[in-house]
Formats: sequence, structure tokens, C-alpha cells
Amino acid sequence: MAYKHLLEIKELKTSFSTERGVVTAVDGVSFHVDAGETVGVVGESGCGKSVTAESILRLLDEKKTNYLGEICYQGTNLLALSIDQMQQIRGNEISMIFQDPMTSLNPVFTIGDQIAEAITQHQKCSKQDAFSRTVELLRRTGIPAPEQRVHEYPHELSGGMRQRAMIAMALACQPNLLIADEPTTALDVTIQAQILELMQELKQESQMGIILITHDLGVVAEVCTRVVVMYLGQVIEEADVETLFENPLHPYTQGLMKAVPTIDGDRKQKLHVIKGMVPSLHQIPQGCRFAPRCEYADSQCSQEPPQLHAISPKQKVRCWHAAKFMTQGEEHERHHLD
Amino acid sequence: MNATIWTEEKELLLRVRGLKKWFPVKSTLGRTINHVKAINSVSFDLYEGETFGLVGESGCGKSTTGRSILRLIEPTEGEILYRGQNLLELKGSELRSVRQEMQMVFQDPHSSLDPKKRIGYAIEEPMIIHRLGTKEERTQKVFELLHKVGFSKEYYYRYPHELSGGQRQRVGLARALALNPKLIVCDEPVSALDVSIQSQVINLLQEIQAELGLSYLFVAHDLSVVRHIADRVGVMYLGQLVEQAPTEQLFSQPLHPYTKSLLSAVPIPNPKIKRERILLQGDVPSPLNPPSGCIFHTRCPFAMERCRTEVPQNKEISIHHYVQCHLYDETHEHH
Repeated sequence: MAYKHLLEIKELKTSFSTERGVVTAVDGVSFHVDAGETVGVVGESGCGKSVTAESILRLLDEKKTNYLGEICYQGTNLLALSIDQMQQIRGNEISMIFQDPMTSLNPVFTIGDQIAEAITQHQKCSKQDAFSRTVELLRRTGIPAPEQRVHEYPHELSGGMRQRAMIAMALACQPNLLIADEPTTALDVTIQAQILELMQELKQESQMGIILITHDLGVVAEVCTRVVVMYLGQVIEEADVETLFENPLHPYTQGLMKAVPTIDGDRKQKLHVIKGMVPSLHQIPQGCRFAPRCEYADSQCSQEPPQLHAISPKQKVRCWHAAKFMTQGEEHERHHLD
Repeated sequence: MNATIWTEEKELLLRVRGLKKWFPVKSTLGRTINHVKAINSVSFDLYEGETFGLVGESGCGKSTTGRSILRLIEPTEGEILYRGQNLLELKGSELRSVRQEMQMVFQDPHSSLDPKKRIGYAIEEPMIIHRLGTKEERTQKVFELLHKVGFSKEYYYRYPHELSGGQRQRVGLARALALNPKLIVCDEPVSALDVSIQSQVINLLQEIQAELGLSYLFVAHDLSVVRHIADRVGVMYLGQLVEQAPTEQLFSQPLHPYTKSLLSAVPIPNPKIKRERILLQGDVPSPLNPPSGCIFHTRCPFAMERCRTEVPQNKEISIHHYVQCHLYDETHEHH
């Protein structure tokens, strides 16, 4: 193998020209995905997680978008490819599942037509073959009576079924990398559990890499192996899932974890509030981007932007005070042992 | 606010009995050919100063229940007793005066405020409609309310588009508080918000409840949020309240198979805990033709023969813990 990682994003900068000037939605994001692992990308609305995903497949309007940096898929920089070459990769090598299966399926074609199209588009095979493969895919994703369902239109399916159809379509060409952008946010919890289970099974079977974009820390803890936390267009923390939940180092990550009520938490405890709100991309704070909302911020934080640095082999963080939290965490652990 | 202590001493505020809402489905010629049975005999009580959480998946009828109580949707059948008075029999001015005491906070803060009206006016409007106080008194009250939900005075002149989602939701709450209500129906008040903002609004709801002694009917699909805020919880499935219990008890000892699977499906933000999932097969059946017998029998892992034919009764298994399931017929008779 000539390449180190299945996908490696290096210093990606995605900016848009708007009426109010250039907006940099993703500012220097780097992370990688290996085959067979699920990387979670977490953050609140506007943190750039979806733009990162769309940049990988270059789905954004290229007249208005400017990319810098590299996105290396199996060693090839996707940002340097022509439109035709990119088309060979989309849906074939790398595919994507979107949040809302109602708006991402075409209402005037049957789901069978849409999935078969993905197959015939990328592989030499007859229509009939494509169709029987479609039935097989639908069966694989757990849709009952796929022989009939394949002739149905998206409106005839429930939300969970549509999401299964989307997954079937994304998997039609056995991609090496799957990008799932909030795949279960629009679904009910019981359906979410079914879909997550399905994604896990499919991953184990095919050893593909998955990028899972979500705001739900519960989902992350459940299915991801590594997590990237984003804030205002930057990666602020990266760690494997156990380390991150055990010892989150960035104050924002810590805040997020304390802010959500959990199903087994203390009910009498007040929820943690991260003060203020996410600033607009037009007014990015100097220094650390989280400083105006951070309870630990000092003068250094508001002047010099910290770099993302490795604090242990398993954990990277973008914070001036991370080392302090690190020792705190370790002490805490020692107390636990005593 | 003391979330766990919920005693008999509290006064009954609202009693809902056998509430039903069937939406007619019309043929092209305008004949009613079927009904969507959105809610089917729902009964529960709400006490003063208490929060009753209503949970369930989309289409289970939880929002319809909330709206029916305020008669924003006219229920088909049933009784809604507010301090002993049946709301469904009230008309005109009587209804309006009771409605003053019952307000609502909606899910989507973006569509529930008029974009052309200033925040100050949005909060004042309910008082104008109910002809309360003079102009000065109302303005005074608006400033008080702004302060109560954590805004500075300048926000009086702002427009909704200048506010973020969480701020708008706070305006929605101030507006609901304008008439000094006793009961607020919160329909998914935090589900459109980001997590860090969500916690602000939840804390605010709790603070205001503690201060004013309000009752909330809290409708939401997020079980963790409901667990945090509610004193008692009712679980809805396909238009019926299949189980209700004090919060701690419902989450630690769920009885109904649906509640069990619903709780087991909630992901826990801790990678070390791996839970046994009770995965349900298939989808929720259509409310046009709900299953016979127990509505859950088509997906229930414990379904027996009688579940197909007999409708289970609402049984009190332990104090304030009600369940509608044949599995508990036997155990209950033994007691």
C-alpha cells in the first residue's frame, strides 16, 4: 500500500464568497479515517461538520467555494481531480447518507430505479442484473418483502424504511468509505437503534471506513471508535472514544458532556450551561475561538490562537490549558483507584 | 424545585378522562370513509406545581393530546376537567377566562413569532387580547417578563430575526407567562435547539416553575430530557397512554414491553456501558387501522393469544404506576 490512511484530510480550508465577504466555514481541519473504523465528527450547528463532509465529496457549488489543503483518498488528492474523475469516486468509492431521507430521494422515481441507477452508473452490468442486486441490497438492509418494495415510491415508505433505502443506495457499489451526515437525527429512537445496528453490521462485513457526523454524544459513544470534536470551523479535540468520554480535555467538550441530560444521570443536578452562543463566522474571535465562552479563559487565550497538539498518543487538543486538565483527570483517576 | 417528592397533598389541577380525537378521512366526494385515530381514550391527572411528561415516537398522538387540552384541536370525545370544570362544555367568555390560565410554548421558535412585530409587542399581545391592565401597566409587565427570562431591556425593541433559536424560545416562554397562567403546555420546547442552548432553556423552565408554582404538561420525544424535568411520565403509543408512573420508577422499573424497548433504545453517552437492546421489529402500524386487542401486539415480543383479541385495561400496579398490558393481569390479581 502506497498510502497510510484510507482518507487523510490535511489542513482543509473551505471558504465561500458571500455578499458579506468571504466566509471560512472550515478552517484548517485535519484528521484521518482508516478502513474498518468509525470516526465521529461532533459539534453544534454551524461548527462546519457538514461542510467538511461535503468538501470530501466536493458537493459544494465550486463557483462560490474555495478549497485549500488536501483531502487524500487512498493517496490521491481529491481536490486536484477533474469533475469526471470525481464523478467516478462519488457513490462508487465514497458514498454518503444524508439526514433527511425524504428530501434526498427523488419522489418521482421508484426506490428500485434510484438504487439500480447508482449501480449502472458505475459498473458494467445489465439492467436486469442491477435490479436483482437492488432487491438483494434492500433485503440486506432489512426491508421486508423487498421484491415489492423495490417498485414503490419514496412517499410509500416510512421514515425508517426510507433511511434503509438510502443506506442500500449508498452501499450499492460497495464503497470503501461511507459518510453518514446525521443519519438518524430525523428518526425516532427505536428506529435509530435499528439503523445504527445495521450500520455496525455492514461495517463489520465489508471493513469500510465510516465518518459519522452527529450532534448526539450518545450515538457517538455507541458506535464510534474515534471522535473529532469541532467548534467554529476547527477541530478542537480528537481522541479515541474511551479517552474522550473519560477525560475530555477541551472546556467545550467538557461543557457539552455536562450540558446534556442523560438517561442514567442525577436528576436533581442542574444542567451545565455553556454561556453565550456560537459567534457568527463573520466575527471570529481573535485568539482561541472558544475563549469568549470559556470559564478558564485568560489573557493568553483571548490573544493567541492555540494549536491542535498531541497531549498523549491517543488525544489531541486545541487549548492552552489542556495540560492542567490532564493532571486533574489523572489525579481524579488515582482517587478512584484508592 | 423538588423533583422526586410528589404527594397526595398537591391539589388536582387537571383531570383528563377518556380523551379521544379522531380525524375524519374524506373520499373525493366528501364522504367520511375512515378515521385517523390520533388519540384513543387517554386519561391522566396533573397536579399543581407538577410536571407531567408525555413521551412517545412521532405520530403517537402526544402533541394532539397537548393541543386538545387547550382546545386548539376540538376533541371528539372525553372529559377535560380543569379544577373540576369540564372545558369541553365551556363556550365564549367562560372558555376565554379559563384559557387565560392555560398557555402553550411551541416547538419551533422560528415560526411561532410574528417576524414583523417587535419582541415587546409579542409579549404584550396576550394581555391586549385578554384586555388586561392599562398600556403602562402592560409595558411594565413586559419589562418584568423580559427580566424574568433573562433579557436586558433593549430586547423590547428587537425583532425575532435578530434573536437566536434559544432566545426566541425564551420569548415564547415570556409570552406564555404574560397572563399569569397556572398550566403551560410545552410542546417539544427544546427539540429544535442545540445542546448547549437546550440546557439553558430547561434550567429556565425549572427556575420559573419553582418560583411561580406552575404546572407543566411537557410533551417531548427526548426521553433523557423528560426524565430530567418531569415528576411523572406517561408513555404513548399509537394514540394510547400505555404506561404512566412517577419518573424514577418508570425509568428504573418500566413494565410495558413498549416502554422497555423505548428506554433500551436511548443511546448512553458512555462508551463503557453496553446495553442489551430490545429491538422492535417493523414500524408503527397506521393509526387508520390500529391493531385489534392490544395496540402493541403486532410488535410485542411477549404477545400472547389474548393480546390479539382483548383490549388490556389500565391497571394500577403500584402507587401511581399504571400500565395497559395483559402480562400484568395475573400478578395484579394475586395481590
